[in-house]
Amino acid sequence: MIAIEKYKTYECHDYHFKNFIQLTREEKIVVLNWRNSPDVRKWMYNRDEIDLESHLNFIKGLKERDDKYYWLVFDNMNQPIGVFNVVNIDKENDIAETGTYAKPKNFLDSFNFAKEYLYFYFEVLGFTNMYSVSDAQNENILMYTRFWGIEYNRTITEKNNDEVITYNVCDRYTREDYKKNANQTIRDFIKYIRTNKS
Amino acid sequence: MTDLEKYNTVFCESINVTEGQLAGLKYQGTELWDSVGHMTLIAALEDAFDIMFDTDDIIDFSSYEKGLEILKKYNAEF
Repeated sequence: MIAIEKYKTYECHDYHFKNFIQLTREEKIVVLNWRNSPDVRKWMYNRDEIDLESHLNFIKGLKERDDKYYWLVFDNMNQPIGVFNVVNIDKENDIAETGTYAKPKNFLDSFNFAKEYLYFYFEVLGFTNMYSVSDAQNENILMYTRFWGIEYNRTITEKNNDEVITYNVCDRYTREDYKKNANQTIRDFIKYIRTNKS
Repeated sequence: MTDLEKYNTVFCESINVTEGQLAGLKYQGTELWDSVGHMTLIAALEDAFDIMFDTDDIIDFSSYEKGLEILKKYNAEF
């Protein structure tokens, strides 16, 4: 059975994952500013801007929840580079939905962040299955996730205000799928881009 | 075509900018020069110059000008 410690900051290679409920007010505001930036929220389920009070209340509410966890991820210089979350946790079936957004300062951060959160999910938290949903228009995230072996098997549509949004769904990405791809390098990614970029 | 012309053409086509926008352009300075755009650019430059960048050079390639400097190491003439 998966057991996640809310008050633990997880160390993971050169990164650390600090639960939202442990963040300072300043760090919470950093997260809010990222979350509200147009290039991040345009891919969210909820694309509305969030005000500070709602954001702080949301984080406060996480203290009582065991079905969703959010972490701010820091690099080895202690700079925040992204957010990773695990929601809709089904402990009996050992599966959850993951989400992420990043504000990397360079290319390497982007590549490593994707690699690291998968490692964190499967090897540190210990899940064996992952459910993944990505906006069908978000070519970059689709490119990254497919590179790591995530295969989308169906689509769903959701209404956001007046807009109908199509999402690609991967119902099950397993630890074995992850392990097959875990040692891929930047050179492998270039090869992948060369083959798959239209 | 000179190496500079080749470099500029690849840059413009890969990240969808005009030649006039190249000077001073930095990683994430335009919509398509994001992490995937960066790899698209690197792959296209490798193909155009028939080279293979070292990983450190891929990471250091942070601006239009830095790219010129890096490509000189691979015998491009600017």
